[in-house]
Amino acid sequence: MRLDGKMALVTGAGQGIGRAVAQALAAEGAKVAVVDLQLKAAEATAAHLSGSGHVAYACDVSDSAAVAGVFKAAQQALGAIDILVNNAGIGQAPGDGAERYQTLLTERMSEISAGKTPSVFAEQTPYMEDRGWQTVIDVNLNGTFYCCREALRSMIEHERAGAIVNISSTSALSGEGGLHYCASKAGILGITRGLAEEFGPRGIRINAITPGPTDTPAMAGIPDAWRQSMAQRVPLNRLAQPEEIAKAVVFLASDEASYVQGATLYVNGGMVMS
Amino acid sequence: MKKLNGKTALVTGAGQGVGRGIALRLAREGAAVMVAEINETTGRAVVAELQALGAQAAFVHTDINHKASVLAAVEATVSQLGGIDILVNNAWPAGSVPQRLENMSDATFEGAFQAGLQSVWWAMRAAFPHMKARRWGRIINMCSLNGVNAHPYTAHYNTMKEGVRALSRTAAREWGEHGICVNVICPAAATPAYEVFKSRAPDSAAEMLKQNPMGYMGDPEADIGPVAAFLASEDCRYLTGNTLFVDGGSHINGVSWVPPVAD
Repeated sequence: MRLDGKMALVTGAGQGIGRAVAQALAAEGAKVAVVDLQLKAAEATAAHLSGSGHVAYACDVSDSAAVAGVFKAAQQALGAIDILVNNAGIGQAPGDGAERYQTLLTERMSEISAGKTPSVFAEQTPYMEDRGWQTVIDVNLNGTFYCCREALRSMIEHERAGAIVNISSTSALSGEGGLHYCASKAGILGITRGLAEEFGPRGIRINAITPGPTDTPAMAGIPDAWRQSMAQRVPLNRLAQPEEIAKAVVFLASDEASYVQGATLYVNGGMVMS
Repeated sequence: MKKLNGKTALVTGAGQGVGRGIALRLAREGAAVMVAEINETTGRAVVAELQALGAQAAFVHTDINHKASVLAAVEATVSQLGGIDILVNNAWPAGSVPQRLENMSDATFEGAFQAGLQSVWWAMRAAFPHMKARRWGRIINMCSLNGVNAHPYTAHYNTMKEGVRALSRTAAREWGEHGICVNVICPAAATPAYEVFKSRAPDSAAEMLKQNPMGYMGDPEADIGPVAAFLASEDCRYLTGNTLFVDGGSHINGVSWVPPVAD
């Protein structure tokens, strides 16, 4: 198997893409530290992984002390880290103006469907409070930084040429999904390239994936019509399955990608092309 | 478990370098490989290497300057290997000399168009009905950071390679509904062609290596081949229209590729 004997830590692995990633890494022989905000969700993922010896932890990745604690515990349990997958992320937060935006968008769409020149503008940023912005940046961007920093400290200490895979989003490229989300996911691409330059000489590889809309619990609340309109914009005419993102993660984490560095893989069915 | 068991592949320019590395890796993953190559000696030698791995392999003499030859390579793959599931357009004619844009002749540009862009399109169009019939296909086109970052003195090459990238994205859109994924690899590899560049421009080659975050040129089989095998596999069924830079990170900030050139 491609990842026999490797120690992998996956954040946001209690559901969706993160859970599929944990499963795919374990299926290739890795020992996985399953990390999620919800301990029960992390434990549920860990219980269903191939092989044995996986561990589960609760962690809010936006809390740097908590991140350091989880890395310490996970490495005491499974040994020094080889693979980090930064997947934990949120798309909305209280006070981010998303509800107001949805209302405005619905009004605008009904004007357009009625054949009127729209008078309503679907905007979110004017209604975004500091706390709404900050929460998404804290989890998506700061959380990725804190986890990368812990993993790199360990890889340097143990002289391991490990691999980091950061889950960004098509929103980093297309500008859709809310300003806080776009900025955080684009920031993750900056982290990816910056670390790739800095740690290439050690043989540590850092790459990113920008998934398009994916069929996950996080998408469950989205109306069918909206899902269909997203699928229509994808050349492959459907949303991604979490397993399809996970396969790309395994590829980037494995020796197959030994010379892939600082790259962004667009696993989005062709929705945005590179 | 091999990823490409039962699949058939055509790799152009598979007699050496990146094409050979990809052919070897596809074969190791279980694919039957047609080695399309203008040089019969190197092409047949690679076929022998693939067969020594236990793979099914065959040789077809292919000159990408000529449409009939390209079409015959696709036809040979279908008739001898039983189909064409994977098409790797890798060949580029040897011997093109760096030239300043203003000195480049019509013949140089037109030759590059024929061999570097038209031939890719001919092969894709010929392979399409076979892939469509099986509702499964993988097309991998080799392009270059030279085109993406506009390296000097290879305008003909840069232009055709960027044309191939546009062609690839368009095909990804149009053929996605048939289960065909079309992607591009821009490699940096220690190939015979790179050795020629290094001997002509040792300073530029050394500078490029310093600017490469991983600090070495990729091995065609160990570093480039596996990425092609991934793009050729079921693992990449939702990944289409992409360019993958397999270059140790050289694309992040670019490299100073400056060959010697006549005034």
